[in-house]
Amino acid sequence: MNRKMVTRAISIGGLIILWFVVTNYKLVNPLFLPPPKEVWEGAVDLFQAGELQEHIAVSLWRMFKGFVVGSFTGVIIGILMGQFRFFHAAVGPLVEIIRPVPGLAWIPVALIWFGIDDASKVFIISMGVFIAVVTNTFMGVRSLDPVLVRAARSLGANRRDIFFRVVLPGALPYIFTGFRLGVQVSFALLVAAELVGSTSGLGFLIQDARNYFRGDLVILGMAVIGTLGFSITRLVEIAERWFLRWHSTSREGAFY
Amino acid sequence: MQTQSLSGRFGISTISVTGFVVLWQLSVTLELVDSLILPSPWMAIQSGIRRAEGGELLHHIIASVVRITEGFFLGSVMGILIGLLMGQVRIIGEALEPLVDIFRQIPEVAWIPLAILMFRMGEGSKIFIITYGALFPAIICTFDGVKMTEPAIIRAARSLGASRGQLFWRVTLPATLPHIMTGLWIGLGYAFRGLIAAELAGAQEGIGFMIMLAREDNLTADAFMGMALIGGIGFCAIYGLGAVRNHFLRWHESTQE
Repeated sequence: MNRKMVTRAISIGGLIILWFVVTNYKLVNPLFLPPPKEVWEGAVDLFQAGELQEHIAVSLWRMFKGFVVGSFTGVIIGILMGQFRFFHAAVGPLVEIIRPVPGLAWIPVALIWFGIDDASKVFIISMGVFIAVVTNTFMGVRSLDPVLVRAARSLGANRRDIFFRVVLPGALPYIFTGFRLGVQVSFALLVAAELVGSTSGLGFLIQDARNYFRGDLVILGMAVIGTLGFSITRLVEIAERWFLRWHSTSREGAFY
Repeated sequence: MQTQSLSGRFGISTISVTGFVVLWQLSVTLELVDSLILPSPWMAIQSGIRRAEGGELLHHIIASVVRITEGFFLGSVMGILIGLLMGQVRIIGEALEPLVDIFRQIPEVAWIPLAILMFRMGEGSKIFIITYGALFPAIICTFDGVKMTEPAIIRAARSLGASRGQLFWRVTLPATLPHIMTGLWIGLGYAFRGLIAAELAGAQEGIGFMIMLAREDNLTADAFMGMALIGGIGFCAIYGLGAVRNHFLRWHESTQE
């Protein structure tokens, strides 16, 4: 444990020192790898101007809206597909058709439909989240042990009890897997959508910085994107652990 | 009885899909929706035929397929080698793990602006993005696979007199292979995402470029056709990788079902 911390510190410290050395002796084109000092100054400037916070807020708000829409529809349709064979037969193939199309490929169409405002990003994100959540919810409902349902029924549970006490809790671990995958997908989708057509947000920040050859701001934006992505995934994992504290299998280490 | 209910459900699926397509087509033909917003399936097919005739479509498809093949191959090979090295040599594993942990947090699409600064608009920037996408899942899964190799098997092989080389080729590598395949599987998805994003953000050819151009000219039918193509290529790539996996893992329990 201790040894691990030391190697961790050495390797990350080594990377930062390498960054200092490489930029100090101009071994790499400073256009795309500016010195750490420049990145820091760029960050302070952007923060003091209030722009950095604004881009972060805009991106997070879009992501939140897209996630809510996508996961809500995903859970409902997934449960319906799992519970009713007829619904599955009718809707399943339609979901299967759009599933292989990556959310990114919707960007041009979303831009035609909704313009470059928030709505197009919300649409793209909800598309990606929906696919992840609907497939996992469906699998969760279907993989439920039928013995449990029969046991509940023989103990006198009505349909509503069976659904809320057996089916839904049984599917919850899968639903959370869908949420976790959805969050990861939605972050990449958000950045891509903002890169391609937007006037605000973190994706726009790095694309705009590139246009002005501000390598420092590009790297800053990437660092912020990485940190936010990591934090949000962690938050979902914490929520998952709390909601599934009764569940035996800890889902530790599953990061994809 | 079973077959009957199955065919019945199959019937519902067929009705549902054809019903969906017919409804979609009719709502455009009867001008209930603007075909500029939602083109009919037939219009998308027509635009595909129109573009295929000049050879333009094939040109874009080839450009995209070549890119994804190059980038995915490069990223996977590098990832597997790094992962094996990290798993076999303890100090390398410990030193690289924190760095891998940091860099995998940044999605490949966030590298697009920096890649364009580094490589301009040329092929290099696209290959970089695709490679990046495929790289990290390959590293992480390979590394995990080596670490998770059953110690009892290694000890057994060693006590039977296996050399270091034999231990690697006969025990560690086969035991890691299922994990490597999972890494390639996930990496393919990321690589594909990287390809489309890089082509959307700035390219002169490729399917992503084609649908982005269609968007600028408000040719929604072309965008839909391109999306269907992307879905089709993705489907083929997944199917192809599945075949590769089944071939290499035909001895493994996961392929027996």
